[in-house]
Amino acid sequence: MITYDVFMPMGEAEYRKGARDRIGEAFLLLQQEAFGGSVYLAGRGAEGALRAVVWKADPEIRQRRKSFDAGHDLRNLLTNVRNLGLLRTGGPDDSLIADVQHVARLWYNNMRFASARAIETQWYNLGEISGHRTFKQASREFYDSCSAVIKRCEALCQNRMSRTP
Amino acid sequence: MPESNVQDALNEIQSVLARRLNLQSPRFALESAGLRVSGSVISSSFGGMRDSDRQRLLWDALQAEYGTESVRRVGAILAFTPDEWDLDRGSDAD
Repeated sequence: MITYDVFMPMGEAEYRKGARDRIGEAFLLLQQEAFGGSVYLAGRGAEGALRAVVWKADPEIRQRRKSFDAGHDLRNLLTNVRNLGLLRTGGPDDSLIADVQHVARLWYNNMRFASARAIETQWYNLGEISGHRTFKQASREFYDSCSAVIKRCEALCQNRMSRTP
Repeated sequence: MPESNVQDALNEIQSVLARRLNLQSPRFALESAGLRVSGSVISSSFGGMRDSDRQRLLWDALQAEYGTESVRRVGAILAFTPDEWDLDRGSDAD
């Protein structure tokens, strides 16, 4: 039997556009106070944006001479970006690093299966939510961090790496 | 969507955002994503605002113009200040 890959192959453009869509959807859910879905999609968007940068900057991955096995660990993806020489630490990219650390502490791949209540409980156990800090406030700050990561990656893809072959 | 219609849709969204938000020196990097317009808008008017506040502004403007139709016209638009967008222009990482 002949099988066909019905899914679009992922590349820099698809990762970028997907990341943008996910953060857009995350905002709509945030406004509806659907925090579980919002934080899951916002984190997934951050992952996609980091993947776009790695894909675009690493010619071996782009030419499929090396597998893209970064997994879903955002810190690993950030390390990949850093190893490609794209970040300026001690300067403008310190905030990106801080935002990725914030997101990576709270987001995990299997959040896709978790109920909003389970995520809220996990964040409470991590100290992200307390008697003075609600799930709503934490979700909004999480959205802002994810959005900042996606925007920084978008700017990297659009400007810096557009000059490289 | 025919090319001329795509460009019309992009121009319309740019015009709506620039007018309703009274954006200072706006720049746009929009594209058609199926039936929706997505992309980036760059303006110093976003300075000092959290991303969630920027999105609220954008969607308030779009909903004021299009009502519930706004989510069918627009996908996701990222809002940058010029400093955020131009951070890498003419520079190299260490």
